Amino acid sequence: MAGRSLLHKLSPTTKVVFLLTTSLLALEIQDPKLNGLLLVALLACAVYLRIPRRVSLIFIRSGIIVGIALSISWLFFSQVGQPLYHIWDGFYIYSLAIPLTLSMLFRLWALLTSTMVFVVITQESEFIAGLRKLKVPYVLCLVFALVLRFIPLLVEEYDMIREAQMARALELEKIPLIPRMKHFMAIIVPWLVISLKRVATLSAAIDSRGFQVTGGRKRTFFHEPRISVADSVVVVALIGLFVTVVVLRTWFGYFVIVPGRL
Amino acid sequence: MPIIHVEDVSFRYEGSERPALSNVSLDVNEGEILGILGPSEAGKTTLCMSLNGLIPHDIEGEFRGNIEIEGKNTRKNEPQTLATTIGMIFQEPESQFVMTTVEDEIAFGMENIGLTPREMEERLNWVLKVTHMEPYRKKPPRRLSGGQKQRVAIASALALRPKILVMDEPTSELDPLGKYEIITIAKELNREHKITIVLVEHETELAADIIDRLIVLNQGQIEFQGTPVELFGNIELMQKAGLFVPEVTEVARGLANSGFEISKLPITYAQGSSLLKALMKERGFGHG
Amino acid sequence: MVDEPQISVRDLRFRFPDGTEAIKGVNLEVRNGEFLAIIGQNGCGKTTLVKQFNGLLRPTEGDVVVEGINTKEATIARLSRMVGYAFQNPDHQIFSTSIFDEIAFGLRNLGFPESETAGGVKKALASMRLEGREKDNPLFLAKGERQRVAIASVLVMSPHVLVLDEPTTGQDWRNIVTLMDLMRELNQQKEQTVIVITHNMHVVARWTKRVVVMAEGRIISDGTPAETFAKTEVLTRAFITAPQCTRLAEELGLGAGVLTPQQLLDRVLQANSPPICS
Repeated sequence: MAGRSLLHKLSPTTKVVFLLTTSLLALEIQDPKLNGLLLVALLACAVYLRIPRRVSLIFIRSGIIVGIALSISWLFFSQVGQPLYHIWDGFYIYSLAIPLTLSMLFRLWALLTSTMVFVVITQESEFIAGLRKLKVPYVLCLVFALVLRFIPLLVEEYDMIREAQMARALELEKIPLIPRMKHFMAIIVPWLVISLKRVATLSAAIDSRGFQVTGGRKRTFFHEPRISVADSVVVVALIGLFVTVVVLRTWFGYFVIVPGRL
Repeated sequence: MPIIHVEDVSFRYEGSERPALSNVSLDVNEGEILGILGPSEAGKTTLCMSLNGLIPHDIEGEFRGNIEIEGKNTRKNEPQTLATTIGMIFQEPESQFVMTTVEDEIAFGMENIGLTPREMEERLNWVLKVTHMEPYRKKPPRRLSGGQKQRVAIASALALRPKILVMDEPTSELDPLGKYEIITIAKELNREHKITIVLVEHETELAADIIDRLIVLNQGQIEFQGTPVELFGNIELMQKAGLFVPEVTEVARGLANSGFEISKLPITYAQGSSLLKALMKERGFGHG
Repeated sequence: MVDEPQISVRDLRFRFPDGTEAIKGVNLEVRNGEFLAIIGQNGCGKTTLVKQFNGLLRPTEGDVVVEGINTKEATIARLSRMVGYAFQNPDHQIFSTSIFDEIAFGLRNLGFPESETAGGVKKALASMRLEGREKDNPLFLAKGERQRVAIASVLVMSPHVLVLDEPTTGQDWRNIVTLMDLMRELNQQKEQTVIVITHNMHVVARWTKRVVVMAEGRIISDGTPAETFAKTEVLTRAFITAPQCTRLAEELGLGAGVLTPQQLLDRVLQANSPPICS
């Protein structure tokens, strides 16, 4: 990971606010020029952070694949504005489809970049602390943390089960779709059984370490995220920006190409 | 007063026909290491879960009898409350963890009982030192070795400063090095920090090194209660319970049967070595 | 007829996709009818090595040849007919509601007609001492029995080599004895080649005939149990402790090669016998 940059040092609450506002901003703005600007700003953050290739590759790949799918569907199927280009029997590309598609594309990439930045600057434990500061009930934060923690494990188990069944000559690729469902049980059932056993142990372990959902003791927290001046500035700026945009769009019609649509 | 008092306890899991535990009674004194041996499905895990209150509070079934942990009745106290007196380590390291760094994992329990961040930091440093895990404070438990993972589990339970630690087959899934790490820590915790330990263990040779007293559970009933020496020398009982007889004990028994005078059966390697050396010297082995 | 090895590993190197080099140059031959143990610390490459035998993993460099077929040129399904692999946790395999279906799974995957399946299942059940249990639900069995069902479901495909990955981990001694006796029976009576990965040195000493010790992706020793337990540097490097009776014999000057308490007892008594001529 690229050291402790300024962005890393922000309070986790700020980071969560960052993720939320930038995502919502992207969705609120429809103008491709401004979306493009937002995207560039976010990309600048990403570059500043010197994100490791391992992480950026995942997002870049998703961005390209989903981007292509998205562009095709929006470009050819948005019937907004005037018909402009004649492609094929009855199929036209409409005048506003192009800017709309660009807007969608930039939005998608902005969301991905924002998420990538967030993931890189936020440690998982911080994230939970950040959620908690936003008054999310601790139980939900815990559930979130457990999901994050167990996903890699579940994936690993899935692979192990697949290998075990392949060692008994199961070849899923060679089976046609319908009977394949039945063979899929050979992977799902062990997966469920093992996961359920894990859940039983986990809940016993949690209780054995004093975790109470309701009543009784007050819970304290080890990580107390500190709010600095930088945090307040960033949060105020981001929220201010977002509110301004919402107001401008809703009451004054700014940032819109196609009214009445996202 | 014994720190653990189990009185005529029986338990049948919901939906099960035969009882998992039948009329189990035993006492554990403070500062002891009690071993629980027995074949699979004997009820060892059921007994462990009854000790810290998971049975009857979290697990459905028919519970009879009385268990008192430092005077607190397990029926009237939930496992969450008992957690500061009795901690538990499970067999599978990975399934016990809630958080993604060692530090957060250990803090989890402390947060549950409402300690201040300063107290948490203090205890965190203490348990990391005791389990020799200081360099791994910020590491994700997933990346650790089996032995290290179990040490994190021990540290997490220890952070609540319980007087008793129950370890349910903690070394089963570990390689020899990991097994040795855990048994050594258990011994240190007991000898240096006076923590009472209840240890369920299949490897009798490993357990023989540290346990003071033991019970043998078989099909939910206690078949033996006493010292390791008394048990390991009783070959018939060991075989009936399907337990592995430590090799030194087996050899000594064989010697006793061949007419040698063995006053005390060895149960550890060191004891076996001393005994045989003394015997051979006495008889002038290997000379002439 | 030349006695060709069943499995031949030549200059094997293996690197995981993330770059970790798990196997750094391994040469190994396994012949028909062998009963061999692979031991070493977790992470030394034991499982990575045996997964090369049935094609679950393929060499980055070097070759693995199973019964004359290079694993790079065969599918896992084909190789699984020659090398059966029983995983450490039977729960990773068991999914059916009857033992019969569970064991028949492999045969059905290989395309055997139902008429032959019943016979195969019956044989496999018998070899694992589970006769007559066809209708039981494997998901509700005790751990030791689940393990035997899992192994039976691999044996049913009549693989020439059977690989057991840590079958002793988490099992009580009684179950271990039952299982290893069954393996010895298969090995001696049916010439089944058996490869066991284990951490239990009593199992290694009392049942196996050959021991391969691995450390850091390499084989550091390959010999009989007696030979292996005599090599102190090897044992130290792989964090392995020889059985008590073996160590005692060495320490008391009673020689090497003691693998069971009975053998130690015999040597002690022998050393005690008065000399023939005084």
